[in-house]
Amino acid sequence: MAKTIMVVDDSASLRNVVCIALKSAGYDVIEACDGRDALAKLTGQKVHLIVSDVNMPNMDGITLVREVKKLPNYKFTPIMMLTTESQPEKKQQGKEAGAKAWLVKPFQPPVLLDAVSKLVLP
Amino acid sequence: MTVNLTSAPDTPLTFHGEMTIYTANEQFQHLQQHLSTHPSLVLDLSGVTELDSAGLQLVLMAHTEATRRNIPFRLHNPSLIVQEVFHLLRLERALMPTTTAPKSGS
Amino acid sequence: MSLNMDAARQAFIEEVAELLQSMEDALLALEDNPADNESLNEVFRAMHTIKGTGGVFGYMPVVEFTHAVESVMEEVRSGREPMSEQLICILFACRDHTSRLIEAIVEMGEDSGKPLSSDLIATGHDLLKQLTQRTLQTTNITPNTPEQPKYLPIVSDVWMIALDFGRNALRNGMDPLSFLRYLGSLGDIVDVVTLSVPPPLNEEFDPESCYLSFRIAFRSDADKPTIAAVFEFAEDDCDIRILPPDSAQDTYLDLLASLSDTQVTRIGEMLVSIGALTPNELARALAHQADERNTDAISETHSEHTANQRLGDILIQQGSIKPAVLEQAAKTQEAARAKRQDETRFIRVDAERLGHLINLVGELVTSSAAIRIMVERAGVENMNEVVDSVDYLVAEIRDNALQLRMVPIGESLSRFRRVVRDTSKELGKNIELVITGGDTELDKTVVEKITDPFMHLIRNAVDHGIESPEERARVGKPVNGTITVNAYHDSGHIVIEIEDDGAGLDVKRIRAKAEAKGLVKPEDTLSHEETLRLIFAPGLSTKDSATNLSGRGVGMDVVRQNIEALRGSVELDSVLGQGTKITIILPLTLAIIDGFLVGAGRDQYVIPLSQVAECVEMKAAGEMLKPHNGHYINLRGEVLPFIRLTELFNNQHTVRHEHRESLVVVRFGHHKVGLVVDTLLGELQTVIKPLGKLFEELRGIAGATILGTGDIALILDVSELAMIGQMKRHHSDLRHS
Repeated sequence: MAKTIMVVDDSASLRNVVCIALKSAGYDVIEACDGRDALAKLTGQKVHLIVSDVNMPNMDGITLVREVKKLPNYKFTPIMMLTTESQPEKKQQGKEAGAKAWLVKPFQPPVLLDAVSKLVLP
Repeated sequence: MTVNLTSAPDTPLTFHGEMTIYTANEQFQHLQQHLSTHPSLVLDLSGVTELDSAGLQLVLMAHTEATRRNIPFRLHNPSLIVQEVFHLLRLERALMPTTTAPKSGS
Repeated sequence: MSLNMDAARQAFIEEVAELLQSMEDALLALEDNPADNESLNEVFRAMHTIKGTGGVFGYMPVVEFTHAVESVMEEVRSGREPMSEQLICILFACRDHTSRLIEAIVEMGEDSGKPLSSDLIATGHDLLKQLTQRTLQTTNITPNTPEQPKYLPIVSDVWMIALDFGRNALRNGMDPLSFLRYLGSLGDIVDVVTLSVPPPLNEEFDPESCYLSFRIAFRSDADKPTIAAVFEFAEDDCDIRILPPDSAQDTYLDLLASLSDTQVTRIGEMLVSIGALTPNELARALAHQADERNTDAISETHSEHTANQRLGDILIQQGSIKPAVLEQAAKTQEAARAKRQDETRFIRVDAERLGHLINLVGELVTSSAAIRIMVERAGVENMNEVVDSVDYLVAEIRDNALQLRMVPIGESLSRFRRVVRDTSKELGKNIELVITGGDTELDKTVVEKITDPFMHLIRNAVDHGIESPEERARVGKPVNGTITVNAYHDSGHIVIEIEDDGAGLDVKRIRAKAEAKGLVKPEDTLSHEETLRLIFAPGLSTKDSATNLSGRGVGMDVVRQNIEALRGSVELDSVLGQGTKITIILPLTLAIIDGFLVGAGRDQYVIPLSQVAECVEMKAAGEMLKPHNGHYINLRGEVLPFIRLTELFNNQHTVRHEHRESLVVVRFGHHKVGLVVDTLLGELQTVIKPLGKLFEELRGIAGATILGTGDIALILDVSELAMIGQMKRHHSDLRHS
């Protein structure tokens, strides 16, 4: 049974690449373009991992983490934030909100797969 | 997830579907009920489709509790998903002394 | 997948175009209002997003460039750096360059790995240079990136990994099973012990809490940082201990021993840098240490040593490293600290200041001697004690001051390595220079003055001494020649030997040359040593063809004169076909002299001992030759000019005593001259005090010194006296002919 990963990023091209990589590794992928979109798409879906950007319009990644932690069916779902080394304060905020895994952008697809598979193997 | 309870002495406690942190609380309640009404602990894990650390922990807890109460403990026909986890942690011998565990790796 | 990637790439290009457009708009806005935060953010965001997405596509030139711009924008955005007109200009150019980079990638299509055009690369470099140089001017921050530690490869063996998960691990989304599964992809999980430690009463058991612990035996070629990275996301919720296999320990020990001094820091950091410890393990141990200190009621002095001890104990206890590794780390640290202390022990002092100090000390010696004389003359008995102690102190100061100027000779010798390398290459010879005793000390002023004669001797050895490889092979010697320079101290002198295993000196040819030049007569009998010494005579070169290296004319006579001007001496030994050894003996310092004290007339004189050849009784020396009022003596058949010091300095006793005069034969270079004195007073070591400017023109006097008696003695300049003697001889020769 393939594990499902939700990818949240406002850059369609980045989402695209991440999805291609994850699918090629054998995961099911759900895409969302921002935090609000992600919350809407979570409903009724079994999700094993959320990979989310930090800087997004409508609802940013930190808020998304806080919201996900409030949902009974998703509160234990691991969340991996995509961040940049120039945002240490964001990382701290995200940690406090409940995100546990981090990946520094820019990254190569194999690095992403490596990080993801530490949390969820396909 | 479904749990079947019967009152026969060797009746297994059956867990279906996922055994994860999302289901752990509920399944723990069933385990406690079962222990209070049965002189043995037979877990039927044949229908388990997902087993995470919380689920595994529950199985281990059941085993510990049975040993403590000095009552028989047996796993009935664990699904492949469950066997895979047991093998990963080299738990086959401890939890399933009678069944032959799938051998590979070491 | 490539079809999908093409679509993704196209989307990226369109996205970049949009971002660059908004960046341009923002930059235009900034030109009007440099403090506009929204525009600043826009510029940052554009570069940031292009960097992030570009990296995913593997467009490294784009990533590198936009990263640099983003970093600068981060500084501006955070207010650490002002937005300037100049910066806006550069940012416009950066925007355009980013656009061109993307265009170049579009053109490449699938071959995005192809190198960029040199034009594009140059523009990028130029822009980055402008960006960084501007940053340097305004903030003056140079990023000090430490050298990446080289993580060691581990040979196959079993690692011990202990994982103790925290209660909240599951609630935080961690699934310990995932980490174990992933670990299995790095190697072979040999065995696992699963410990589930729920609270004893089942009422307290919370199914969402984590009670799991694992002990894992793991076989893998991965290094410690790689294995630690498996659990990087669990770090907050798990106590992780990774104990490397025994085979890794030796590697750690080697790495520790080979750390350079700059890498030797705190013990924990060292262990992290070689990969023996993960940063997390260190952090946990330090936290533990802090706890312990807080609970420590006894306020103990926490020297770094005891702190180390404890940190080490904690690290071993928590199973992060093995004791042997810790021990080596402590050793390395200790050695580096000792060396650092060594470095701070030294201060650099201007040589001129030292020279001035030594001159002042010389004055002090003179003055203190004068005080002694005054006190004795005045007969102030109870001052003697004070004068004695002052004398003692002055002597101590003198010795210490002279010691200050002592430097190891090695530094000046090692520059010859290059000379030997270059010259031997030019001549097609294989020559090795071996220097021993480089830490032998001598006065810096002496070191400076011997460099030239040394250079000459070394070049001689390379040029004339060592044969060509063919010649060496022919006579059965090793093809590689060796020149050995050895320095050591010997009774207040420094001895420097320059030895080569070359052809040696041909005594017959030296003799022939010397006869041809009229230096010796065919009927003279000379010993082997005497013949060898002939090469110190002016203009005697044994090599038939001169090379451009050692040249002609500047010969061994100059070397000898230079060394003797330093009151040193040079000796020569050579065996034909086996090599030549030149031994130079120099005083350790020019400020102290080993002298021979003589009395002449009313005064006393010091003759540098190294230049004294012999002393004979004047009457026994042989008949006086008085061809034309000249002073000559027949010393064992040799015609020797002599100078009567009382005549030269015009200081005869007013009352003439009947006494036996002595002849002190001194030599300088090839010249010999006799000095007629009244009394021989013996050897002494004394400080040279230069004479003032007033006496600069005085010939034959090198300086003065204060004797133990308080009297002043003049130090004779033998080289000048020899010249005076030779000139007399020359004049008389002219008159004679």
